[in-house]
Amino acid sequence: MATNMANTRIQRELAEVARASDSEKGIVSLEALDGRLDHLLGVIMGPPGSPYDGGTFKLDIHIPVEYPFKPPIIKFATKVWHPNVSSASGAICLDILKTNWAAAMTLRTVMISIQALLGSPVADDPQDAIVAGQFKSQRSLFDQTARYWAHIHAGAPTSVAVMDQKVAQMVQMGFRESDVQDNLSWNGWDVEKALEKLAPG
Amino acid sequence: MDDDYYDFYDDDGDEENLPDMFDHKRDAESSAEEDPEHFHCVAVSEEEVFQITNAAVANVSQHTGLSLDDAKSLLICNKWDSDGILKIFIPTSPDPDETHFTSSGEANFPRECAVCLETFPSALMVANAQCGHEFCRDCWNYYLGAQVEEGKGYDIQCMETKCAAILGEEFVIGLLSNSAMKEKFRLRFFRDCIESHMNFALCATHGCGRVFFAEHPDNKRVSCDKCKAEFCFACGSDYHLPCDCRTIRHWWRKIAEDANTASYMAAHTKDCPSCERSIEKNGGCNHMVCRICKHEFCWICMGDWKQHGKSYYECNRYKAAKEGTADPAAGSGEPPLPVPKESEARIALNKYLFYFTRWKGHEESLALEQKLFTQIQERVQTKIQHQQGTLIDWQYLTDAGKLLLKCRHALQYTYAFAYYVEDGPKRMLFEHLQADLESTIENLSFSIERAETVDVAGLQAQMRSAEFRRKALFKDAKMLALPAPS
Repeated sequence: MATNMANTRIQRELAEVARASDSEKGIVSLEALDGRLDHLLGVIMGPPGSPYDGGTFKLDIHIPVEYPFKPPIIKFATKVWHPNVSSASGAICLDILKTNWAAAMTLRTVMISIQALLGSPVADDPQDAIVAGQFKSQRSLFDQTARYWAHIHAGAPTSVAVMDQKVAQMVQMGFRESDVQDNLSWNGWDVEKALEKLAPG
Repeated sequence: MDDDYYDFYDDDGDEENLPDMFDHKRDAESSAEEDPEHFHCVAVSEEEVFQITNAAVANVSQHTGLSLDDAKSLLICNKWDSDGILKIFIPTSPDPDETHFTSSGEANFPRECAVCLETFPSALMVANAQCGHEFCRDCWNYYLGAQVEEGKGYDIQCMETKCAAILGEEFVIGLLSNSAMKEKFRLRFFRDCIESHMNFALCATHGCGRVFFAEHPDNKRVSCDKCKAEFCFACGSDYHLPCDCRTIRHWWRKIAEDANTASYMAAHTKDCPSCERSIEKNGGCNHMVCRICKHEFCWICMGDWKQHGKSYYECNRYKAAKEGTADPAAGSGEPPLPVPKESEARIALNKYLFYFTRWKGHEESLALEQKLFTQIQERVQTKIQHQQGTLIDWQYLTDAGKLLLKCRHALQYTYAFAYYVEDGPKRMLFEHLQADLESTIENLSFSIERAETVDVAGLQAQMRSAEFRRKALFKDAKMLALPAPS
């Protein structure tokens, strides 16, 4: 019965999002993967005015059999630099995905909440300690890194020139680009420290 | 708070129906009430629990206009503080413009359930009266079943987004379709009622289910008449006076964490301080007599017993700095050797081990004396069967055994207590009283173990002395406010 209810509801939710996307064009989309109703792909746009503006962020959504009585399991499939999202795994720290889930919530309302979370991080309830620390103490470096990640991972139009240069400099040394991007970000764009992590000793 | 139910009975004017559990034996117990360990509580049936809780529910419902169901949930959330609820509750007259979907005007429209997103005729939709949110019967049933399965009781929330409404008992039972689930929920809800109500305590034994009522709840001893367990009325853990609930939790956590460090202390054998033969302790009494050399010593401090009995007994007194020993090099012309200072951690460990050894020692004695008590009872039975006196003749021996257990338990917990008492004259006094009880108890234990050869009057004098000292110790402990454990 539960599986049936989850399936019927997901079908209706997909229709709901498809209907609503006319008025909210470009903000939210939702589709079933391989025709399966328990694994979905959600897409949200970075909120205007935030470092994520112009980026397209994919969400990996798993529907438990007990849905909607248990919350959907959602993480970012696109890499995001954000205090409440793990920069390594994409896991999201959001109350409505855990204890504050209510059966009457829908995937559309949850995706809107995640989009809102991108626009207003909650640094006191961090998922990623490094990012949250930077958000609190080096706000401009955080904004630049977030924008840089939105550019390289989520296709946002503007990059950050200084960061491009540092990455290029280290890629020339023979390191893989994605490793360089990660390690520079995790070490506050300190080339020396990033080098130490990439080539210890 | 304590007087809640009296008020309701007063209101209803049927005081004669007040359960007469508190009145009888009043006079007989007035002397017992001087005992600082005295505590009056009674086992109550489910009906008696409902009698008390329902009166409070009816009162709150009447004054607030809430349904009985909602009033009960509200009381559980507020630990049955009726006065507190009525003080802050502002009654609101229903707003005529704010109508729920359930109002008769729209009753027949088919509506969508926000959970399964299907459309139902109104008859299949059920609204929670408190918040007005309605969903289809199937969704409610499935949701509530899952919540009950998770062990939830009074704290099940409405399914609506950001709705903080808590679902009432009857509402939930009415929507659950599975009778086993209904029963599980009913039991859980009953437990919630008991646990949130400071005048009730549930027996600490898992599955026993006995409920106790106390007019004046306190952190004192409850003895379950059904399963024979003993526990603290206030916190449900092992009875722990003179320690308060917080202190004893801290102590238990500490001894659990330090179990490895202290495990060697719990060894069952020690060497006789005189002939160094290994001795196994086989009774609860700490007054040891070596079988080989007849040396008498104290199991706890390993000191000569003569110094315990005749002169000043101070095996219970922790000496923070064991300095003051005469410098052996003095007078020999050589410069005195620097005495290595003990590190703070070492001092703390020594202090802890001092109290822990004594705590553990009394705990082991208690276990052995519980066996002794069983043996005494068997012995008394045998004697009666062999026409050697009646039950009344041997009553003093049973009483002595009971008293010994009571005092031993008290002594054990005074060591947890003393660990937290700050240094100073008050602590000196406490330890003096503790030492008094300890030496009396060791004598009593010694006599009971050899009860056949001890004269009755002597044993009874020891018992009176022990009882007097136990009361004195608890009275003193009551006046010593412990600092909050860090």
